[in-house]
Amino acid sequence: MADRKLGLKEKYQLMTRGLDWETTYQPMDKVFPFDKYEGIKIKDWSKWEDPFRLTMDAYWKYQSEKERKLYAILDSFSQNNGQLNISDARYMTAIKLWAQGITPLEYYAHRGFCHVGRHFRGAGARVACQMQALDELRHAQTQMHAFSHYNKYFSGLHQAIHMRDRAWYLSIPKSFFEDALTSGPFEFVTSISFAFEYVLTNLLFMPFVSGAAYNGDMATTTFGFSAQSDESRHMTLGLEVVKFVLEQHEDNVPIMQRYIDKWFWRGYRLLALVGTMMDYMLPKKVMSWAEAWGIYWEENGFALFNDLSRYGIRLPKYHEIATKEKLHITHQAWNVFYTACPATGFHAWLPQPYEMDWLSEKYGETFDRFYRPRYELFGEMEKAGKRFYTNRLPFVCQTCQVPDFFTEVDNPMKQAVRHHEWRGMKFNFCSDGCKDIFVNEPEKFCQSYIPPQQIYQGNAGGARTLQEYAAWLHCPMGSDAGDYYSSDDYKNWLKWHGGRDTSPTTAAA
Amino acid sequence: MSMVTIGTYDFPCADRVENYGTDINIYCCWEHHLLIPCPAAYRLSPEITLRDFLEQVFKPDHDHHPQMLQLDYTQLRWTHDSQPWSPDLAKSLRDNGVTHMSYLSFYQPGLDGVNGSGV
Amino acid sequence: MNLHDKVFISFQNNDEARPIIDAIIADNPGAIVSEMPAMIKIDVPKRLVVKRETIEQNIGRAFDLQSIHINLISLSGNIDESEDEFVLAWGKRG
Repeated sequence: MADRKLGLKEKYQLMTRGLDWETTYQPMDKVFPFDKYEGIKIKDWSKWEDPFRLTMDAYWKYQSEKERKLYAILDSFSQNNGQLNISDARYMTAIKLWAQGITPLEYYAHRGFCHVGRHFRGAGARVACQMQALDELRHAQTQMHAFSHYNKYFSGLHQAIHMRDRAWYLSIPKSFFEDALTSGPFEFVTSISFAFEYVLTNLLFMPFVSGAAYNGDMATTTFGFSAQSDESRHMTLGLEVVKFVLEQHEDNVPIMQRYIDKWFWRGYRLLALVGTMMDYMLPKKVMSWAEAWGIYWEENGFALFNDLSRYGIRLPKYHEIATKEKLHITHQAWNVFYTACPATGFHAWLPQPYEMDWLSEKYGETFDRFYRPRYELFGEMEKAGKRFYTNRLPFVCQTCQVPDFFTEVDNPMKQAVRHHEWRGMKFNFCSDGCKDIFVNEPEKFCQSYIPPQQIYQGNAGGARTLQEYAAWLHCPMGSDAGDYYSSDDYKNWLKWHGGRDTSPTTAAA
Repeated sequence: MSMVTIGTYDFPCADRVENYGTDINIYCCWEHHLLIPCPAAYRLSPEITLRDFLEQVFKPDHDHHPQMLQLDYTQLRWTHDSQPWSPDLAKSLRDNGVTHMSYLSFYQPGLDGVNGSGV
Repeated sequence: MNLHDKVFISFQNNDEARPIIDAIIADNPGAIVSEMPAMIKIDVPKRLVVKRETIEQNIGRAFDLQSIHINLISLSGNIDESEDEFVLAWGKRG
C-alpha cells in the first residue's frame, strides 16, 4: 500500500518529528541551557504527545480562514457605525480595561512562547510553542485593530502602551506576566498554558465575550471567540505539558505542584478584574462572576484536578478560599474602581437601581448586607454634590500588586492582611496565598515594582499625590478619568442618541 | 526556601528605606470602615507624633466618612503588624516602635461603620 | 450527574457550527446543551465524541474534522483526534 493516503497520526508524526538533531560542535546542555535548572527531569522527549495533530500547513489554512472571517466582520462593524449599537457607553470601561490590561499580555505571551519554543530540547514541544507564539501575536494585533475603531469615538484607548508602564492598576497584569517570563521554561508553560489558560481563561473568554455579544459589541465578540479558538489549542498544550512532565519522573511532582499552587493563586488574583467586568461593566447581564466561577472552576476545574489526582497532583492550595471569596471580590474591586477612577484611564459609576437588584438576586445577603449600604452611602454623597474620590495611595500587596481590598474570608467586615520579615525588612500581603509565594521566592518578590511605593520614591515623574500622578499618566479627569456621568464619553453618547440615555433599565433587556 | 536560579541572583529590595530619604513608608487601616476601600499608604517622617498623624494626615483624608466625628482617640484599640499594641499618641512614630513598612490598624469598639454594616 | 466528571466543548452559535452541534447532540446521549448569547456549550459525562460521518450526513458533503477549529470556542478533557473522530475524555492519556 505504498500510495495510500497518510492517516492524520502518521502525517503528523512525519511532519513534526525528526526535525531536531543531537548537536556535535557544542554539547546539548550548552545549546539548551535553561531546560534542566528548574530540577524537572525529562527522560524521553519523544513521549511528548500533541493532542491536536495540527501540522504547519493545516495551521496556516485554518488561521487564514479565521482571519478572513474576523476582518470581514470588523470591516462591517466599522462601516455600519457599530459603536452606536452597544448597549450603553458605560460598557466601554470593560473594553478600555481589555485594551490597557489584557492586550499587552497577549504580546508578552508571544515573547514568552518565542523564548520557550527556542529552549525546550524536544521538537514536539517546540512546534507547539511556535504555533502559540504566532497565535499570541495575532491576538495582540487583532485586538488593537478592533479597538482602533473604538478609539475614534471614546476616550481612554489612546495610549495603551504608555499606560501599561505607568498605570498603577496595570501593574497587576504586567507583574503577573513578568514573573512568568522570568521563570524557567517549565514554570512558564505551567503558569501560562496550564494555570492561566486551561484553568482560568474560560472565565474571561466564554462568559465575558458572550456578554460582549449580548451588549452589541460585535468587534469584541469576533476577536474574542477567534482568539479563544486558538486558546483551545493552548489549553491542550498546557494539559499536555503537565501530564508529560508528571509521567517523566516522580521527582517532578512536587515541583509541578508548587508551580500549580503559585500560578492558580496568581491567576485567580488577576481575574478579580475580569469579575468586575462581568458584574459591573456589562449593562446587560449574562452571568455573574460567582456563577461563572461555579461552572468553570467548581465544575470544570474540579473535573480536571480529579483527573490529575492519578499523578499525585491535588487541587491548588487555597482554592477553597477563592471559592469563598467569589461572593465578595467583584464588589470590593468595584469599590476601588469607583473611588480611585480619577487616576485611571477609565470611568466608573454607581450601579443603577436595576443593577443593584440584579446583584441582590445573584449575591443575596452578601450583597445586601455588605455592599448595598456602601453604594447607598456613595449615592447620598453624590446627591449632596460630594461625589467621593480617594485622595491617598493604597496599600498594595507585595506579590499580586492588587490594592488590598480583600477581607477575611470568614469575616467580611475585617480587612485582610498578612506580614513577613525577610533580611530585616517588612513585607505585607493581601492573603496567605500571596505570602506563601513571596516566602518561596523572596529574592524575586523583594524587587516588586509597586506603584504607590514608586510614586512615593519619586519615580513617577516626581508626582507625590494622586492628582499629580494622573497628569503623568496622561489621563485627565473628565476626558479619560473620573466618574462616567461627568465624562466626555457620556456627553458624546447622549449627543449621538438625540439626548437619550440608552442604558437598559432591566438586567436582561 | 531559596529560589532555583541559573546563576547568582542577588538584587536589592525595591522599597528599601534608603529610597525614602529620611522618611518611612507606613500603612494605616481603620477597621470596620470599608467605605475606605483599602488601607492607605503614607510617606512620613518617623518623627511625626501619632496624634499629629491622625489629626493632620489621616482625618483630612477621610473627612467624608460620616463616622469620622465620632472617632474618640481614647477608645482606640490598636494593632501593629497585626499584634496588639498600646502606643502613646503623644510620642513619635519612631518612639512608638513604628518602622519602615509597618502596618497599623485601629478599631473603636461600637463604631462598626454606618448602621453597623462595616462601611 | 456528577459535576466532576464532565467534559465540555463549546462553539460559536452560527450556521457553520450548527451541523457540528447537531451531530454532537445525536452522538452523545446525556449531552446537556447550554445556550448563551453567541455561543453554545455542550457538557457530557466522562466522554464526548464528535463524529465526522454524522456531520457529513447533516451537511451532505465531505467534512474535514480539523475544520472544527474555525468555530470552536473552548473545551475540556484529554483529546484524541483522528480523521473520523474527535474525542474528549477524562482518563489516562494516550
